[in-house]
Amino acid sequence: MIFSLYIQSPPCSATSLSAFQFAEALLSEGHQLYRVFFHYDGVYHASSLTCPPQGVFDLVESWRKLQISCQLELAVCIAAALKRGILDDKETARHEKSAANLLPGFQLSGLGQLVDAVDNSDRLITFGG
Amino acid sequence: MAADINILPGMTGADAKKANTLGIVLRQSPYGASLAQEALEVVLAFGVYGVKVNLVFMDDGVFQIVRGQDTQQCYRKNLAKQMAGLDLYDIDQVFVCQASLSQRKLTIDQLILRAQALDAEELSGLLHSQDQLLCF
Repeated sequence: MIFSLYIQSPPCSATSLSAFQFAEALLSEGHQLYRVFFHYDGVYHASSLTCPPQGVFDLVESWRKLQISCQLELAVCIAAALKRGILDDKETARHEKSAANLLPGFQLSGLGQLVDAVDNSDRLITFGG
Repeated sequence: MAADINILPGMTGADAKKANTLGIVLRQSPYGASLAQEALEVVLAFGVYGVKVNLVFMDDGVFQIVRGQDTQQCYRKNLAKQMAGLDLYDIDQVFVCQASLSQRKLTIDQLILRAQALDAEELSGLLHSQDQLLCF
């Protein structure tokens, strides 16, 4: 089956841990992960500035590694990201901010990517905010 | 809101109309957090692409479409006013959970959208019949 994930919950929540474990499980079962779309507080997964404490599972880094190993598409809603201070170089220049902080492997994109994910997946699983 | 919706290369209106039926369930209160506002942006995005949306309000989500919202004192955009324009995006299949209304001492006459009230069995049937579901 072809899955897409829609993640609204922030990285420091149990819901987000479930989302990551769900992604790992579906990939290991041989299913396809078409896109992961981060929206609402889920956009915090794309911050390069998170510093989890020692001994705590680093969810942000784990998504980054999974993106590389499985060539995943990690899309981040641009409006939700800007509102929450997650910017790439282009948006940093456009809004004349001091620094960019979008983690490599994540891409800012519009809600059209969510529409496309619904259209091209057998199932879209929401992990609520 | 509309500026957030990027047009995908190669995706035309005709492509969008092949999209599946999509149930969108709104369960959050309108002003407790910003999820309701951001959920509305998602609803409108699917409307722009011509996806057949069945919109369901349940639990505290029924408060989103109650008439008489005044947000002047709380620095928030009036959600009900935005909801009133949904039919401009061809989103006119609107349903509300009857039990959620009753529990909150609300009636269908107090809503700003023309919505069909469904009991639990009808609601379950509607949600099961959708090709995809999004929940907020």
